[in-house]
Amino acid sequence: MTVKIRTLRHLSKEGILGIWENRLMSLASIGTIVLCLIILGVSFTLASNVDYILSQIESNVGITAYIDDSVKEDEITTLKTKLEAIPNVSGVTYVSKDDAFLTFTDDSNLENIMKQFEKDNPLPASFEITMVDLEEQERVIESLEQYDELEISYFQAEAPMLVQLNDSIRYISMIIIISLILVGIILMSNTIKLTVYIRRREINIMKYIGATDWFIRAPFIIEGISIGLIGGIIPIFALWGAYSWVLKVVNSRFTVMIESIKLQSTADILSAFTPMSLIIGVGIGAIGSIISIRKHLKV
Amino acid sequence: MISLQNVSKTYPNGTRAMKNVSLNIKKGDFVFVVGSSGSGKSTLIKMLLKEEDPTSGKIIVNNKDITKLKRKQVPYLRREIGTVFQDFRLLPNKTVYDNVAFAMQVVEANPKEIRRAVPVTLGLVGIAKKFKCYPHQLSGGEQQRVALARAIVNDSPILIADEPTGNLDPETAWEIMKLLQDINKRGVTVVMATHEKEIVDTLRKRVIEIDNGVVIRDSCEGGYDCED
Ligand SMILES: Nc1ncnc2c1ncn2[C@@H]1O[C@H](COP(=O)(O)OP(=O)(O)O)[C@@H](O)[C@H]1O
Ligand SMILES: [Mg+2]
Repeated sequence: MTVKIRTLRHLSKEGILGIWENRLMSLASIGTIVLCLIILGVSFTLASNVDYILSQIESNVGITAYIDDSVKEDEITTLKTKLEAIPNVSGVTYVSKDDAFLTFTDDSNLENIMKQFEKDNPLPASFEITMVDLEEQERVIESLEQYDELEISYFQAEAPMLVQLNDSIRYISMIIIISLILVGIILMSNTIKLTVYIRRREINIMKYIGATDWFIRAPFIIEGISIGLIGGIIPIFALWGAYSWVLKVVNSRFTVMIESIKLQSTADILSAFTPMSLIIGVGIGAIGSIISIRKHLKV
Repeated sequence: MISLQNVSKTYPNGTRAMKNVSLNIKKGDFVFVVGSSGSGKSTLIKMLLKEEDPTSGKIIVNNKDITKLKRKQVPYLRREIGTVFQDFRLLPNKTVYDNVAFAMQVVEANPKEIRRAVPVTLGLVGIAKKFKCYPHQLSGGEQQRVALARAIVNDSPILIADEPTGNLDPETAWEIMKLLQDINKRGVTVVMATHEKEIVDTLRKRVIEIDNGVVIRDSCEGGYDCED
């Protein structure tokens, strides 16, 4: 294609002029794209934080396997190696009877009670098992249950609940986002349709002068892409502002409560969301305008 | 330059606007296409611009059979033909200068060349002083001058005018006719559709008269050689 830079510049000017000539519809399209991307941004932020928190919990919360007193000290190492070989197990820590007793007596409330048992420690030795993926906890437990000498204890409810919450957020936001992308494309193509209508005389004149299809169509595609770009940039700044504020509030009020759990940094969220927002915004703009031109601009 | 061979046109609604028309127009000719309203003048012109395709027959423009032209090639046909219409068809949001320059931008002309050619052409049609005006600030005659400038600025070898004086008072019409003759003298082949008898009778040019889609007269005035 032998398109010259100045032609491109001229066409861009025409395209951007189109946004202004048709500002009400342009605003509606930008608004829809912004809304769509903000919802995407919020659900993405939620999901990635739930993921992040889950990964932190996963490394903390695990399965405790109490070892029957009948198991001898020298069998422990072999058992430990076997457990480590179970898929999805990321770590196995041995807690001896003495360790368990020490942990208990650390608690001042229990100190007196525990003193009575000093001679005969009733606490069992155990393995603290951590997993790579909390979602796969069931399988690990099934494997563990095959060992009669072990008694398994784990958080049955929490893990699936967190996973489920994360999945629900994903599904719901996915549905909302897809519908909004469709609405965005439809509104976009209507905006372009209106610009085509406003400019029908001009388009006709251009045809008589001998303008190529490309020359006539380009401004409309540029208009669409520009609208998409504006619609893609705004949510980035909105999310930036909102998330920084949320982090500030969370960090100042809830630090004590959730000391060990961190939220994603603003930079992490933005570095993932920025390309997403721009690509989807520009994509809606481009697709919407191309659909519209195909339907309404018979050159 | 332009040749119609057994051209017929039936519109989708069944109107037979052109019936087996054959004619030749040579390079440098000035031809009037006359006939009452509805006789088929505009249909002929639309077919020359490939805005409409003939139902049957062949149309040759500049040695090319335009009935065989692909859609993508149509813009290049139209660059060979300058057009002027009764309703001027200027871009309302562009100045006189920009309207004419736009025709050159469309064909991706050099900006230097645009800056040179536009004022010269505006001077040629006598509207140079008003280059900053917008179409709505001009009289009909002035707007038609701008349209003429736009039609010739790319040095197209053919100029087609469909009732160019239709919206003008007689005096202004004559000014436009004078310009059209000037343009023709510079070597441009001019085809003008009109139903104004006075103009046609005064300017002793070749006249092709159409009635009901049939050529009923093809005259050559003043020893004008019209057959190839
Ligand atoms: N797009 C069209 N569809 C159907 N009939 C048409 C169309 N354009 C013109 N006609 C008919 O074709 C005939 C010739 O029209 P036209 O070429 O415009 O005549 P003129 O320009 O000489 O007034 C008329 O009967 C007109 O009604
Ligand atoms: Mg007509």
